[in-house]
Amino acid sequence: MFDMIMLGVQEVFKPYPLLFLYLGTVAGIIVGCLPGFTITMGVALVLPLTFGMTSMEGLAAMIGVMVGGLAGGQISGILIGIPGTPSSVATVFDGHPMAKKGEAGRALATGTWASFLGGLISTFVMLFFTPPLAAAALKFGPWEFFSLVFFGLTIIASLSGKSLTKGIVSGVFGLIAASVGADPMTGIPRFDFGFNHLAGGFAFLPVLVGLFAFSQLMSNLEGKSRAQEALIVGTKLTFSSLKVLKDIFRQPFNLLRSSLIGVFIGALPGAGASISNILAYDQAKKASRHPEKFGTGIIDGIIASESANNGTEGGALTPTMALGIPGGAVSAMMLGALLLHGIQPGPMLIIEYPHLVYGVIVALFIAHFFMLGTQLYGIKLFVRLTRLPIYVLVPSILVLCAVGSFAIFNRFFDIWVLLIFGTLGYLMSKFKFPLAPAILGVILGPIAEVNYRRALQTESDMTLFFTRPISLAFLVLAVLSLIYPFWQNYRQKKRQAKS
Amino acid sequence: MKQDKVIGIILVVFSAFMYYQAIHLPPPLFGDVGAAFVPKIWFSILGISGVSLIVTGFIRDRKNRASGRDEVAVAHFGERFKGFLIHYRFVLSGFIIFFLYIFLMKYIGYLYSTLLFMPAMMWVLGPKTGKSAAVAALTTLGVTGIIYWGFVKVLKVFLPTGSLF
Repeated sequence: MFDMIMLGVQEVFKPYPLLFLYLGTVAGIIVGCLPGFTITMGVALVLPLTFGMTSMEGLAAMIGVMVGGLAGGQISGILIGIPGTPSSVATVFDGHPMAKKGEAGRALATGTWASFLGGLISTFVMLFFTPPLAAAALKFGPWEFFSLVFFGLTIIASLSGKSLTKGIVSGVFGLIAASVGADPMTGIPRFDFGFNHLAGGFAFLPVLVGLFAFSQLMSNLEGKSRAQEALIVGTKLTFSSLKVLKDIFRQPFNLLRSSLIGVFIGALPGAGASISNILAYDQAKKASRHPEKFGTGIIDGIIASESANNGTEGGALTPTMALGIPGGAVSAMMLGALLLHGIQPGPMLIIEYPHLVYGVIVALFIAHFFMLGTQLYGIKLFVRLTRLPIYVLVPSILVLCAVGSFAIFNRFFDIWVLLIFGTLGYLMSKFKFPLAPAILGVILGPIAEVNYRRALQTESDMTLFFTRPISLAFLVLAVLSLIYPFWQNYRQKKRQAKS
Repeated sequence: MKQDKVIGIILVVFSAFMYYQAIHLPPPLFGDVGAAFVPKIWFSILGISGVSLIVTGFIRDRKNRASGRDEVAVAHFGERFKGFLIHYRFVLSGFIIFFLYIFLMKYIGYLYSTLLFMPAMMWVLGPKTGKSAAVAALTTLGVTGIIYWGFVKVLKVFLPTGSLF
């Protein structure tokens, strides 16, 4: 294996691959921290540029965007409460309250170090565990995928806050929004009411930006004179990396568990960082001795979310490189870059082009150091955003949201979708409906439906969901996940009664 | 808890309407599971949740009445409406101006609509001083220009040009 690693080192440690890797990382951080921009969009924009590069240079640039984007998503999430990418949704739960308490610097440093460590763990997992992990993911049929997604949906229970019913309504609202448009299996138009634009369904990005960004921006305008104040007052800009690292290493299990959740979710086709960060946050909360403090501004949640989202990189690239099966949209585009250069992805890739496969692993490793340096030294620049008064910040971000929503498909309709879902999101938060379950519904809804129907079309026997061991394991986990918040609530009440 | 009951009724009506729409989707070509199957499950859950909100709203009302904590209007409607307008005036203005921005963008394109939207929004939300006017002008030119340059020139992404031009 050492020889193979050295082959990868030789491939990456040349001026141009290193330059493109660094530029990709910087571009990724910028793309990641802009609400309305996705990492997939950033990588898609890099794809045409790879024409003029060698295959390793192109892959390095894309890896840079992926690593930078996954880490950069936390910046706007922590500073202004709007996640730059879906992969940092859970970071906002504790990161933004920390910023409001004047600890934006500490929150950003924690997130950056957690991203770095989570990414490194996933790189090592990719290096050492590629064959068994890919083999396990390959064994999954639609039964296992449905059960996995069902398990993911039960997280709604722990994201519901005070009212489980309102959490379910919010989750189902997301599921319904995702079911508008062409049926994913047959292409039959659903709930379009004869309106052409609805036949294509709602694009995920304006729905997400509307629910999370627009509604948040409007909430900031409430009150008599709030609009003339700064978004975050008294933010502490300084932080000590050593202290932050000590804090992170006080929670080794949280870091390791979350990173491995990221790796595992990343390895599953269709599932990615947008799921892993919420799942890791949920598991960290459940394993914590003080779950009631989650959401109030503690570093535990940031460590879980950020190490998990950067942990997905290694997981997503494992089946991509080992078997030619992408773990997500970003890795699918990397396969596209390989095809552009006449390289056929698949199990033979590691035999025919070992320098590329191990080059990708080395590039992934190096990109985390680039990301760490850029983001840590750039944090003070980003924190300056918080000093802007709301009346300057809100119109500027609204323009960005509108343009970002339009740019995905060049469809004007998507800006109206942004406004409609923004209004709904604002009303939901006013009537105390949690927004996070809606996002979960939008992400997981189509995956759940496709796999459920695929399973029943393959074999109409429903018992297969319970008789296939991996599927059963996920269903058992789902039941436990549903029961756990009730048990936790009971335990807390009992403890309060005692004290 | 009047709000929850009203929301519950809206959810029940909405889910019933959508369930009715789902029934009229084409039947599956093979097997039992077609395009309507999964959405029907979601609408059913939504309807049940709506009923749950109504029922819990009534139960809570009864408990409050029994304990003498019934919801009473603390102020005259006119006063409450005035308080609402004061608290939400920037939010309402924000929604209206953003709506007009999208509406105008379709006709006059990104550049002109943004050059109108940003100063208008900052004038409504911000202090009416010379300094803030200068900040608004600089921010408008900076943000409009940077986004245009970044998207159109660097990323080669189209922005709305407007149907009138």
